[in-house]
This record gives sequence, C-alpha cells and structure tokens, in this order.
Amino acid sequence: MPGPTAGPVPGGYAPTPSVENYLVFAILATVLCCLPAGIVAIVYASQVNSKAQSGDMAGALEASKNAKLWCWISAGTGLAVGVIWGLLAALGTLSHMH
Amino acid sequence: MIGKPDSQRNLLLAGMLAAAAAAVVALTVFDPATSGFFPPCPLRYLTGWYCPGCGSLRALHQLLHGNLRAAWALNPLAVVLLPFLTYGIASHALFAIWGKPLPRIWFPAVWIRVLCGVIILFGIARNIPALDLLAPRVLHP
Repeated sequence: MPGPTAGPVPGGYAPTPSVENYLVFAILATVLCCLPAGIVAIVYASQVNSKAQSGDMAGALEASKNAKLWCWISAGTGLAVGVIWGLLAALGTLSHMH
Repeated sequence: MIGKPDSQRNLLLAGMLAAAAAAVVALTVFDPATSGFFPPCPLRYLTGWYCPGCGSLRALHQLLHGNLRAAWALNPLAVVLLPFLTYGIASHALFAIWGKPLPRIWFPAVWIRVLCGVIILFGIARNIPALDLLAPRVLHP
C-alpha cells in the first residue's frame, strides 16, 4: 500500500512505524485538563498505532492529526477553566473585602 | 515545527521550558491541597464526583517531596503513569532541543485501548463507596 511513510513497512507486520501518536500528551490532557477530550485523543492515539500496524500509513497520519487536535482542544478547555477559576477566585477575594 | 524561522522556534522552546520549570517550582513550593490558587477539578467542583485525575497535582507535590506513600494514597494511577509520561516528555524535549529523541517505546494499539479502559474504570471505581480506597486520600504523617 503506497503512502507517505518514513521507513519500509514489511507486509503484515510493522516493527516501529514512525507516526507520532501523541499518547503522552493525550494521557496528560486526560488526567490534568479535560477528561472527555483527552479520552478522544487517547482513542485516536490507539488508532494511529493500529493503522500503522496494518500498514495504513495514510490512515495513521490522519489519526495522528486528530490525536493532536484533541490534545489541543483538551489543553485549551483546561486552560479556559483555569483562567475562569482564577477570575472567579480574584472576584471572590475582592467581594470578601467589602 | 516546519516553516518557522529558527529564532522564533528557539524563543518558543525557551518559553515552554521556562514555563515547565516554573510549574515544577510552584508545585514543589506550594501544596495544591492547602494553597487556594490551584484550580480544582471542574468535574469534582460541579458534580462532586472524582475524575481519574483527581489528586494528581497533590500527588505530584508529594512526589516532589519524596513522599511516595502520600502520593500513592492521593492518586495511584498518576503515580503508575508518571515514569512513562516523564520518559515521553523528556524524549519530546530532547528532540526539540537536540533533534534526537530517546529510543521510542512502541505500544501495540490494544495496550492503548486497555489503558483507556483502565483510566475510565479507575474514574468510576473511585466514586463507588466500597472502593473509596482509590479515592484521593490525604495521609497525615
């Protein structure tokens, strides 16, 4: 199967396909930022490996893109919640002063 | 990072490393359990339920002080995952700085799905009263 692959993929078994799966960031995002979006990222990360395993490099790259996207969605959500919390905390502190 | 000039890339990299270092220092100095400015888990705040990550910041704080037992009581999953996450982050950082990552550990897709299931089940289990051993517990030394 032709595709944008960095190394030779022997038929049926791929030893180390070099498609980034962002698993580390997906787990971090799940545990620290936004659980649902992080889970989506982990699922895409597993798709990267399963598709690379079966030699579908185009599919693996597509899943890789989605894994990255959902890591960013999760990080963005986590950051937004953090900022909102910070603002609320600041407002709360101010209202206690009156 | 294709298509970005080197200086811009280096600035971004330096900024990220500085932010990471600042986060580690802040997490060492301040205990999320007692200082008010670490945001709470939104799920816990809104619903009262624990998520799989609840207690992980407090656990990191304990680990940074060498208290493995206290960290384990707060979030065993985070403690188990931490070596793997640290390796992955170190590999990405080394790649960004020197262009050479650590040897890549490649997991079969099934393992990742199992991990996904474990995270979800852990999140459910720690909300079941009979299994509240898994919920974040603060050990008093």
